[in-house]
Amino acid sequence: MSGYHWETVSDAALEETYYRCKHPSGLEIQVCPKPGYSSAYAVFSTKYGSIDTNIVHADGSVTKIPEGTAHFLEHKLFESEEQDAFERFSKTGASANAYTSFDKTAYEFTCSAHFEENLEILLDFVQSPYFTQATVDKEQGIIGQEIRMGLDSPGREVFYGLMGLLYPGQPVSIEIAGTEESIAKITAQLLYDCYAHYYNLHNMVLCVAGNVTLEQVAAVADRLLKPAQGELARRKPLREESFPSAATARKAMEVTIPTFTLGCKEAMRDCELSIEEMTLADLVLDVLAGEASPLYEQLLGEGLIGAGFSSGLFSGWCYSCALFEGESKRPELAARRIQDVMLQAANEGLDAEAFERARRKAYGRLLMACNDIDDTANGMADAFFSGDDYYARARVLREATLEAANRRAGELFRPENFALSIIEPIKR
Amino acid sequence: MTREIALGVRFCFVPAARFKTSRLLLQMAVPLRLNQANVTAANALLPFLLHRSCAAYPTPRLLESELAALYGAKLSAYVQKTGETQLLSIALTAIDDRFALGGESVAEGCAALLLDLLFQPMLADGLFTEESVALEKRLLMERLESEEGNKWRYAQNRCEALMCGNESYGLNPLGEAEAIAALRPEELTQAWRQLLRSAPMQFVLVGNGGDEAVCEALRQRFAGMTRQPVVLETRFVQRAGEQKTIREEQLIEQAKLVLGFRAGMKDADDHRHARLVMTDLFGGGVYSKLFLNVREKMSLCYACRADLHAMKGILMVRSGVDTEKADEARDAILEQMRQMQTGAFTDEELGTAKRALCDSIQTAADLPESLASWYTRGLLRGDYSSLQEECECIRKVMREEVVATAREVTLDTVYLLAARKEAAK
Repeated sequence: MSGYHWETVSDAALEETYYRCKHPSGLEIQVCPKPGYSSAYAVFSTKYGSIDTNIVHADGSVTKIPEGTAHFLEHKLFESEEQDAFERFSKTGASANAYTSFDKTAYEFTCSAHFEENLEILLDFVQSPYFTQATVDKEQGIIGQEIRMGLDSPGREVFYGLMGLLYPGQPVSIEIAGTEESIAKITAQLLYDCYAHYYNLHNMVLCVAGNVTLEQVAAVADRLLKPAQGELARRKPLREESFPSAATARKAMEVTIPTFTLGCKEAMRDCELSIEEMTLADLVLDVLAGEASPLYEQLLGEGLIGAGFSSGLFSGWCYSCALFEGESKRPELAARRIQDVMLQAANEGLDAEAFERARRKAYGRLLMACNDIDDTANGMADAFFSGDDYYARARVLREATLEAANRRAGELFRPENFALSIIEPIKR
Repeated sequence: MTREIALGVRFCFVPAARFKTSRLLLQMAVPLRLNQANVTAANALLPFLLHRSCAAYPTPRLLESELAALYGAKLSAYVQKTGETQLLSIALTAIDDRFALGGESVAEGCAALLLDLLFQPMLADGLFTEESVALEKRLLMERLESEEGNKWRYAQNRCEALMCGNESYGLNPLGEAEAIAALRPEELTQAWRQLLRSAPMQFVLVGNGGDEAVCEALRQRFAGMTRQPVVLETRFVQRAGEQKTIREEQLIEQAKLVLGFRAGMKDADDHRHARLVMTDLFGGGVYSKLFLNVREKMSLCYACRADLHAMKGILMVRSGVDTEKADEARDAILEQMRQMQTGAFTDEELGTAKRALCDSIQTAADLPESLASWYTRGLLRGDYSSLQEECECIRKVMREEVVATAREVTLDTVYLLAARKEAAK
């Protein structure tokens, strides 16, 4: 493992450490060994998600790609000319999977034996694209089923209903898997083009956590990684519409109780929020709408929300909004109550004690997530893509002040930026 | 590692210094019985009611504020069905003391809090309050309504209800809406006292020590209590009778097909490991017959998997299909079961299933939640085998046993939740 220089990233208060290095091939590698663990988790991610509906070339020109291509490519990458990757993993006993989100695609495995063999398979198959028109045609059927299955999920429909209001026409308002129409446009050649652009090692990160050593990872990486051309893929700034396209969206489905999501989009200064902006927003939302808040108590008492009510910030490339989701027999009234409290807090600020409790809670939850090797490795990857280290959030939480949170509350909520999506029962 | 606290009350400590948390899981088991809808509903409501407040923190908001101050200690309640037992759980996860920003002790406070929830609920004149009961009734009924929106869950519930119409396994462990609506504070208070007296219970602690203190606290709370634990029983039907086929329709996009099989088990331990391997090879992972053939080769569905419910001796196959292709999918699934029964699988495929099962069982050691839940078999069957011991048994499973257990599988019920025509866009 000549040429490796592992940089240590630590957080003394969390008693956590991981190691990172830039491999000569161009790939960022990060490893978090966990003493006493019996399994290991590895995730190989590319900064390429469903919102990447363009290829921005070096000369600034842009090629449009159909919605759902990133997810489609993820499915197809498991195939090869000989043995597909699932078959190879099944020989070792590892459990392998992959997922596509709005802003990345990730290939992962968990195993409690044969780590090196598994890592070898992971690095090999993700670097070996093999697409034919016949297999692309067949996959259109399978993914079509997946898309239709999603259409029966009230949670998914209520979310995309809201995104259609807050970000009309933008990629984040389209289902990650695309639509049956959009994926029909995908060809084998298109997949190769997207692969060449987004799957260069400079646009990727390998994160490993659990029962593993740096030497194990380095040895496999040296054998498998091929020096790569290319760079971190650029994203195009999206034209920002200031206001929601309408106040409310409704859809009837086979549900017994209505589901709603209320959202409030914020005006962003840059294309992405900083880790501090994200962390403070989550704190603000927990103070105002968390289970220990007066609002939550009121909504529960008035019968306006159920046990599953939750809130959180949803943000990424050119989108950031506070979301409030729940089931309610009277969604409009619930939404009005929530909106009133948020707007009041934007003007008057937060309760100091409640802020301190929320800060401690967030810190405790972050610590709890350190138990989980999946969460750890994925958190490391997300932090890398946004230019931070995994412990940045903990540092923000330890130093967060009421004043900063109050400022953040003021940025988050404007009366004209709220919109409500409702899934209601079919009227008989 | 397990200690008897009182009659039918066990404490199980699982040392795990690798975690930054301690998790204390309380499980209470009660029999699920037909024609006792009020009892089932009352028991279903209790863990939720108990975890929402207590005498020291009499409103949900006060309790939540305390939990937040305890560094976001995570309190949860859930109700499950394992065999014909209604399993009621309350769990609390807290950070290890060494991480508290002010150096205070968190874990001790958490154990005491969990016991307070169980023993010192918020009562007025000796009864749960009208207000707290009304809230919990609404939330539980809405939880039932919410299950209907999840079509996987809904279809599985329907298949179980139709297949086991004369067995208590057909019941929803959350209770029935009508029975929940009729619940009164008096009978809930009585059900709570009955629970403390008669439910087999287990406390599982997963963490970095602190077991002596928790054990001592448990002994004190149970001291002087007269306990008469109930016996838990599950009826095993080894072979299916006349096959039932039920079709229902909704305005949905994708149909759900659920096949309910009798696994041939005479009790929950009857060749359990062989049946787990058989089920996994049939429809577990991406190497299984259902995945490779019904999904990949025939493109009949997006998801198609089999699960063994060993505590009841049934095997369920769930699949998302096009309504027009449901018959074809059903035939394809049954054909794959015939393949299992004739031993049409290679030793390599068998090895694959065994390895994958063992690997996934062992990963449970690395999450406090799954590690604590692993010992549910301890409460229900007195079986405290470790994850490693379970894997040993799985590795020893022979091909002949897999074929033999597959041959005992009989189809009981075919349930289809079809997509009604006018839904087509």
